[in-house]
Amino acid sequence: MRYTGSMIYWNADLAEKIACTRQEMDTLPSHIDHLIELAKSIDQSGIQPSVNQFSSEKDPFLRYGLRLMGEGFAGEILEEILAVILYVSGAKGLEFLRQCIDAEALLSIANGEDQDTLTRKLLPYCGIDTALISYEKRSLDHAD
Amino acid sequence: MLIERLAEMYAHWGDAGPRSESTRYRVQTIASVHQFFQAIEDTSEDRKQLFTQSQQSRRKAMKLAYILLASESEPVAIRDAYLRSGLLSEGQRGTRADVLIWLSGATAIARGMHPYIAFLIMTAFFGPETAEKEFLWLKERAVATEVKLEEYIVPGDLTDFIEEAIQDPTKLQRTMRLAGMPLAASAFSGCSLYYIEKILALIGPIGAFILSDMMESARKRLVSDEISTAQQAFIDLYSQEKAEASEAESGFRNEAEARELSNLPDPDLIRTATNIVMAAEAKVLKTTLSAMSDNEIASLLRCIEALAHERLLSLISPGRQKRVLGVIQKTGDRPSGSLLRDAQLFAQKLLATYAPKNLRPGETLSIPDEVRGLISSLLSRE
Repeated sequence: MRYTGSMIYWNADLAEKIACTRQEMDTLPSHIDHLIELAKSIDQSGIQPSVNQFSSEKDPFLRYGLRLMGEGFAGEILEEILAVILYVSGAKGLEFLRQCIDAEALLSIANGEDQDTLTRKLLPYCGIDTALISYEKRSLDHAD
Repeated sequence: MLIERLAEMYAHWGDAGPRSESTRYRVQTIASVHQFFQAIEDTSEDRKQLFTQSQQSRRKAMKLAYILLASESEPVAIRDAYLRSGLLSEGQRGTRADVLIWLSGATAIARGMHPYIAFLIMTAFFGPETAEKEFLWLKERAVATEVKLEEYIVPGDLTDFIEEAIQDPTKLQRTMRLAGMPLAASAFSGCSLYYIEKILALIGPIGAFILSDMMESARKRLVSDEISTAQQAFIDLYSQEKAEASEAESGFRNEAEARELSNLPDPDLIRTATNIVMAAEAKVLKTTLSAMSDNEIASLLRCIEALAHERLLSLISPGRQKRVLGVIQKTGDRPSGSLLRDAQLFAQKLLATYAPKNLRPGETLSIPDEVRGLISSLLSRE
């Protein structure tokens, strides 16, 4: 498990772009579940570069990120490309927040982080209350 | 951290602004990126030739990129040149993102990145759909442009290692991504073509082309001892990954050593400060924050994980949030010693909030056990 805590440099424009309602944020855990499933699948079967493994992925941002990962990109390079796409993204609110979560997940998967680390990185995007509830629920499910 | 990089981009460049509505302008810009990419490939041996390209270019931002690369400017100098040029100011023909395409491309090349990677960074400015389209174009180009490697073997353990590691391609793919292309290329440059082929099959055509190109370059630059060192480093990384997986299972990790190696702030300190923020009652936390200055809150935010940022910020007014965030933007990273002092100052103030004004001798503070334990752990740190 890698330590990933670091300071976020807040910016008013970015904060405005990323702002969502509580109801919107409540929809994020299911999206995070999808990403965790994706991570599991890649962890188990890897990436087959010769086939269009991710062509069925409907979201263009996520699909493109997966394609880049399939080329062997990770770390600094992948982060730079994804950050540029997010920077110019015309999406706002929930849609933009989902793109940020997708990017965080792609980087985590590409860097070989385990699912626990991935979950800890993604859930805070849901807001503190939802994140804590989800943590507890997931811990209980895991214990079961 | 991605969100931090994104915030830095906003802090440096402001909002990207709306994209150019004109399809014609967009198509022309993409064509210019292709032209730039070709010029970079053609001048790999002598960047001074880019002066000629600069004379032929009509786009100011592109022209500047050529001139700066032809004069072998450092990445920082390239950034400064674009800042001073006025191209990023309001009122220019293209959008800010249009100029940043050239700044990013030139910086990537000056940083020694492969032209294919620079191309991917530049096309990312057009959004995921166009970037993917350009990616597919690059993929076709990579398939068509085969790098002819000759047999060159540096004796070592890597060949035996690949033979074994290839049985678990997922893990090998992961190690290759973690190692990064320069290290992987240096390591594999001493392998037989038979094994190189097996390795290249693990990644897509673009990655395979870059890796082959880098291997060819590594063979020219490195002596066999250096290649052996890279081979050993790659094997070590793979073994380390394997060991980390086992450690994660058994819950063991020498975090102090890892921290020392990577020069990161003390994760235990960050975790403790984060847990205090998460565990303290909102009312107490709110009172504590009201007794802290904007600078102190900004410093505290540096000591806690992103998870706790939102909780803390939600307890102060929007106006104060703005001021605190302003302080953070203006100040740089703090040394880890300062982080400890900042976190301890917060713990003391929190403790003071818990203490009633009329506390009698012998009376204990009514602090939840968890918070009490965390505060004493934090205050006892040196």
